[in-house]
Amino acid sequence: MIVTSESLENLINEFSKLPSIGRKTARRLALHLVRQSDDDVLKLSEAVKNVKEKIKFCRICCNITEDEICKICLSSQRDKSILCVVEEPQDVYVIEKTNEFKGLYHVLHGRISPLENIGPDDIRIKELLNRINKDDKQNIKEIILALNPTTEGETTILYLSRLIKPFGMKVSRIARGIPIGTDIEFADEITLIKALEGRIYI
Amino acid sequence: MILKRINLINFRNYSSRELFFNNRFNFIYGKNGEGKTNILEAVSITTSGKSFLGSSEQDCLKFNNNNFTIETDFENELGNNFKINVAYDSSIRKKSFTLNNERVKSFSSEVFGRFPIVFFSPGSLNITYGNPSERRKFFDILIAQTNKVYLENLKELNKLTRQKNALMKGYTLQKKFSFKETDDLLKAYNEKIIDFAFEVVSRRASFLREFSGYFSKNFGDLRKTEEPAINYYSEIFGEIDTELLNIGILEKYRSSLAEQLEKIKDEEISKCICLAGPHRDDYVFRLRKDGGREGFELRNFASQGEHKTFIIALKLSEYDYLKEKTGTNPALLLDDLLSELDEDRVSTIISHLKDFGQIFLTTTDINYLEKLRNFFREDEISIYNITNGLN
Ligand SMILES: [Zn+2]
Repeated sequence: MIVTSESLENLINEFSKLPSIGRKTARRLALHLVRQSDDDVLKLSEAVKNVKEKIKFCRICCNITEDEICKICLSSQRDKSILCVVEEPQDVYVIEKTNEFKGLYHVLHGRISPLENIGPDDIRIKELLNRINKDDKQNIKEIILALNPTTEGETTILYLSRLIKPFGMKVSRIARGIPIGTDIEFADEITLIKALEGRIYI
Repeated sequence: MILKRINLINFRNYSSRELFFNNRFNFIYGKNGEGKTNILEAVSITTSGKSFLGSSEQDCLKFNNNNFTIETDFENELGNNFKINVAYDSSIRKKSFTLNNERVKSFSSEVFGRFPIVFFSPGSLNITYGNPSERRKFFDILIAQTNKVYLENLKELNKLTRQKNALMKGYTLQKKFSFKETDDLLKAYNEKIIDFAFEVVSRRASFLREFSGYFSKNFGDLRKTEEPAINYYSEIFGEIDTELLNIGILEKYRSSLAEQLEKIKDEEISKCICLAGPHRDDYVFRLRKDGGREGFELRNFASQGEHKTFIIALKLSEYDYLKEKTGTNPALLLDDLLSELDEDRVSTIISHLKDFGQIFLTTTDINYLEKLRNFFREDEISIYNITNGLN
């Protein structure tokens, strides 16, 4: 095969490294950019460059920020007694959008999965334990483990809860169940079983 | 459930082939290697997600092609139509399903088990002759089709086992994880594995209790000189009569498995592989002649005839069980089966066939057609002569 433009092939290569972008999509994206105005493409490349230069991880919660400490950790409005542990920064974003949770976060940036070569050291577990350890005034009263209900998320929850429990605070996990607005008859069987297991006495 | 139509595009030796089927009997004949079995295999892919023959999708591509498509049209007892299509794309190594032209998000909850099929071929004899894995596979697929929770538990257990193996490899071979990390993580994996092992074995036990009823009846109809039994075997409690596999034993299984996992921890770590759990269990087939107490084990002591009777009874019971649980007649796929059996058994099977719903039979021998005509009307039989994917 004859490659007519090496810089285009280069861009396709870079795009196809992104998550859930296949070879075909990468080519479409690259060709789209070729047809855009110089100005638009420059804006995109600036944005890509800035992301790496400006973005840092919060020293406390490991969430993405442009400062040393993120706005959530700095806020005096937040309840410091409750800590919500999540897998990814986008989980914080989703929970924040509800405007209901007033506590603080800790972002692990992944979950344990030896199959993908991800061990406890590859995600921000050490940072979480340091944070709990340094909490000598015992501000933190409860830790919510809000990880995904996958095999990996569940094992990470189990692993974390064993490490955290000796510190003596309450440890909880989020409930699984039937989405609001869904009739029981339309819930899939596994969700239904989990909802039954997590039933609440009234 | 009736399979009305199939359309194969770039599948195996077919570049494009559409077939319309009879509600009762479909007689598919042709020489070996002409592609009779491929038609049945295609049905297994749309209904169960995998080839009954265990082939990969890549193997199913027509030579020099990158995509195959299978379209199947089903009709249930109420006259409702279901169109299940699968398309495989080798460039992304993925197959995607549609049900009534809508993308299927979860095959296991939307399609699997809804279009029950019993597949019977000479290879089915591996269930009685073969390794424990053949028996586990047979029963796992049967239970999973009618119990989604079992299917999910099995998948979860399999994933946990693979993660645990990877952890042990990461520690022992790649030195990636520390001793403390590995030890803590192993505790987490084992705790989960024990939970799911308990769920899986419990469901196998309650399935077997129910299935044994169908099985004893079907076996008795074929052969009266012996009484059959299907026992369950686990390294934890040995071989056990399923009637005795009650909640007490299962609770004990849970705690014994925990002890066992603790005991073999070092061995598992050094071998980097899970050495205890339901993935090593077995189903023990036994026959008892009157007077004998224990019964002898089929795998080691039975005659060929006894094996064949056993497997026929298993398949008939699979049919009965699926019919009862899904509330629809499964399609019966008989692949080149008659060639393996003697005259007597063939006659027995053929005389039974009229009791089933829709039947597909592949054979190299057109003479069976005459025998079938004793049991089916002319309009109840459709004949397909297959020659190298063409007709
Ligand atoms: Zn922060």
